[in-house]
Amino acid sequence: MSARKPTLLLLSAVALLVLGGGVFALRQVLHDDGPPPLPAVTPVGGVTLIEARPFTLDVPYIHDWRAERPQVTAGVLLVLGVDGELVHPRQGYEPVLYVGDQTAERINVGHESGHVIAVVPAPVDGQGRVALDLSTTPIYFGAPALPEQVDAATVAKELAAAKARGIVAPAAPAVSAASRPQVRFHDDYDVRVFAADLIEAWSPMETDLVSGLRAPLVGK
Amino acid sequence: MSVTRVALVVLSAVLAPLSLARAADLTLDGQAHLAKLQGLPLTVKVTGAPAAPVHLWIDVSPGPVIVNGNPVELGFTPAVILLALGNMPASGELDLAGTVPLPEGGIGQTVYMIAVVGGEISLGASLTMLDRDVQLAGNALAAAPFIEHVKAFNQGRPISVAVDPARYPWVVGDTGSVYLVAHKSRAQWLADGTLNDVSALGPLDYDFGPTIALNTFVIDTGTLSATPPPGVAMGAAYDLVIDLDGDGLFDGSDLIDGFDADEAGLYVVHDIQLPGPHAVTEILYTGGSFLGQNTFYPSDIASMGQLPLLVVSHGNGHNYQWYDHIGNQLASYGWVVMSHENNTVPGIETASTTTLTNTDYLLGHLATINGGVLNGHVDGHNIGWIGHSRGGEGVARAYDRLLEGQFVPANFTASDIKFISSIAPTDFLGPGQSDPHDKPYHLWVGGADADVTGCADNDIAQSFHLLGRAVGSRWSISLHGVGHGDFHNSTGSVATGPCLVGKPSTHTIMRGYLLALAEHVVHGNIPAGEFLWRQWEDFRPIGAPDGNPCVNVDLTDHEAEPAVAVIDDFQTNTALNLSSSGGAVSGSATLVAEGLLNDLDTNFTWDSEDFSGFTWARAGDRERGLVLQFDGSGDKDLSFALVPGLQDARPYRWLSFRACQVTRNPLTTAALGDMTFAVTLTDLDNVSSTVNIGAFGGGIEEPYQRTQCGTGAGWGNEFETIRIPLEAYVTDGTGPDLSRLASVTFDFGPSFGSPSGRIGLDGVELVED
Repeated sequence: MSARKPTLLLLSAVALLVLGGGVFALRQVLHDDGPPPLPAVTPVGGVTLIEARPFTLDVPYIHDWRAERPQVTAGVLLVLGVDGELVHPRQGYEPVLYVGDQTAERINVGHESGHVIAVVPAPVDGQGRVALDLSTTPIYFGAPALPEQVDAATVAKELAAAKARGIVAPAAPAVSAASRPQVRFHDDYDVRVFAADLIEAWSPMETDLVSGLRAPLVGK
Repeated sequence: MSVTRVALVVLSAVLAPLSLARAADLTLDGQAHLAKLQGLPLTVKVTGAPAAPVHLWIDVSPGPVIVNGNPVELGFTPAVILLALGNMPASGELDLAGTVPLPEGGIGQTVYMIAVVGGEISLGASLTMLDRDVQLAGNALAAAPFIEHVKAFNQGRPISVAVDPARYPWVVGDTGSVYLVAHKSRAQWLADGTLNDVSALGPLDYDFGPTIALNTFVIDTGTLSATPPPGVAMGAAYDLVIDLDGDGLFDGSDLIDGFDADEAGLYVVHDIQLPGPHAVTEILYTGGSFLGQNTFYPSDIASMGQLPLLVVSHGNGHNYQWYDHIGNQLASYGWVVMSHENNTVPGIETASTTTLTNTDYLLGHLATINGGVLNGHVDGHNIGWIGHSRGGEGVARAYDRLLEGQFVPANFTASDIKFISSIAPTDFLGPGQSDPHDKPYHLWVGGADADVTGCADNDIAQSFHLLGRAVGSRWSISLHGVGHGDFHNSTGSVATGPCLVGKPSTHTIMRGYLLALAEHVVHGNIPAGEFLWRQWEDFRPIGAPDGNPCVNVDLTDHEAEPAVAVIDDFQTNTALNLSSSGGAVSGSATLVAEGLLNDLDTNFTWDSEDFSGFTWARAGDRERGLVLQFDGSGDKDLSFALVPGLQDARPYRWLSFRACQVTRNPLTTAALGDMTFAVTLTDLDNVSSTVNIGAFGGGIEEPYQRTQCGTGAGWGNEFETIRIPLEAYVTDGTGPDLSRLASVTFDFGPSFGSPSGRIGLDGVELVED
């Protein structure tokens, strides 16, 4: 018998088996436009009340600026004069804005204008009026923190420290001059759209923020 | 009765009359154990008693098994096959000729055989089928190893071919025509081997000699088109064939780079920082409170299929309309990019919530946003998240919450998130909360960041923590002279330090690298991947801001297991003389300490602290590494003995590690510049070979020379990944046996590069292709 060369047979078998088996400092420091230093001591007062507009809501929302995340059914929309350095945007801890025993939500940045538009939740009295007497409520910046981590104990501590440092509530005439008629909003979106007008008026360089807040509402 | 049992019974019957005899012999190309490229000619020879029946047993296991008290070198698994080959010729020799089988599933597999001739049984033989797809294209190097085999080439750059005669000995003395052809899949090559050269010069004929240096040729000076096929973001695909028999076909013993189902031999890439082929439409809208969205999409989206989604989460005090450079770039390459209003001021938890709610909102309102133009065109199963600063931490936190079921969206799941990228992220929440887990993770860091500074005095401002927590594939890009605000497109660099880069150059880098990241992770784009790990000095987008002398880029890359085999990641076996894989660690370099990559004091001042300048971890984190130094008094070394499971390096393509220079240390400042050293592989027979890390481009960059954070100049220790191709150790058949490696040795000192230095070392591992 001659030698066979069963190439195909061998190759097929092997194939079957396999398939089955499976600069250096070129320039010196040119500038430093980082955030300014944090205040050495807090709480810090010196906040000016410019405008205060109480509001109520048809649809409550969650106040994310407190660890307890309370529900908001009413509040006061504030325009405040502040030291711009206290609200200079930074990624680390920022001084927390308090209104009495409550954290305030800062809607704009305000470091260039020195004006902050903020919302502070407040209760409503039996007559449906927002019950926050700003003439007895100090407005101040407390210790740097993440507001979402600020709890009742921290708030109490900050308020006590503010009073101890002589930070007082705005004078009654100033509160009276700043007060605006109470309004009714449907929800927090409407609050923020309303706030866009205040930002445009008091912190006009924040154009992207304003245009963003006024962006067309989907479906409308 | 099982197949195995049948086989053993049959074999037992064959052997029964006789005691074990070894007169029969079985060889493959004259060898008992052969490794050969698929498709090449193969001769199987069986010898034995004339006229005796010949049987060939083939299996996937080498055994041995005991038959009638005798060892037989075959596994007799259920896959065993018996071939009857007739009777032995009078010559006593039976030759079987053919080629090594080509099934794709056979690549790297070994089959085992025995021959039975009459009552005689041969010793075992084996055939390992090597991938016919070989590495030929690359960048020529002036000195050994003479070639850097790569897949991606920038358009206009020369392409070289290198053929190692030790691997392909049949080329020596032969003349081959080198073809650059449009890529064909493996199946297409099998169906049609016709060669149609598309280069300006080719095909060109070359004479192949006995060394790789003689066999390295420039085959294209940069003439190839970089236009990808429709729907592919980058890389025109080509295959490279050396036609050795001159018949104009890929066949026989021809060599091919690109014989693969998916992967071409090489890709020519256009300038990826430039816009892609699609015009872009930008829209601004809101779904309500903290649902403001700025969305970018291809203007011709109506004619497209489902596109991947990139979600951008801005930082604190930033705005969602400040990422046009990202939106326009990716949308022009066929992505939908949505940058959203991010609730960062209260903190990271709320920021992560708005990342989640905005992603969910978009996917749930495609029918109504901008009249439904996106409806049916957003692939909710291919989502990337990129966040800046607090938003950069927020995206990691969002994924952690998603993974742990703390937030349950209506329109996507954790598995739909394909990658997370953080730009200068904070780390407020720390381990266990701001954690990318096993998701592919990418980090951007600016060395001149004046906000998330990276200084040792503040754990919150150390971005590398998040990278250290990622346990999947992970990458980083460190940019000297880039400030916090340079990453967005509004005003302000928020930068401090020397040689500031500024926004235009930063955005140029971002456009290219983000596209590469997104395309690599989501589409598996092959050339895109090389932008993530090849050193900046070696490979970067064509339009990279080389004219800006301040641009300095360091990259790290770590592939997820099982694509790697870890030699030492310093996570376990914490004694200095023991690697995490269990091998001995020894040498004359001074080993300072092994531990958490965390500068424990509040500055980068050189003060003899073991981990000064390291910011990859904080208390509770896991990322550990080694600090060592060599003081200039002579050559020093550090050797990692390989445990048996790591000694066979053949399945891997690279030796990889990451290293950094220790900032402000006198051994660093003594010779401020790119550090180089060498790495030696030694086999069990003490044969070794050495490759310098500078052979393929840059070395280990000096720290960015920023002051502050204590006294002195030099910012945080900046790791870079170095990959050395294993083939570089065995060119021309010299060097160690890669199947029997004994050690990996780092060689420092004047004979190997930088005379002195203090470095961090981590992630010493072997990496698959």
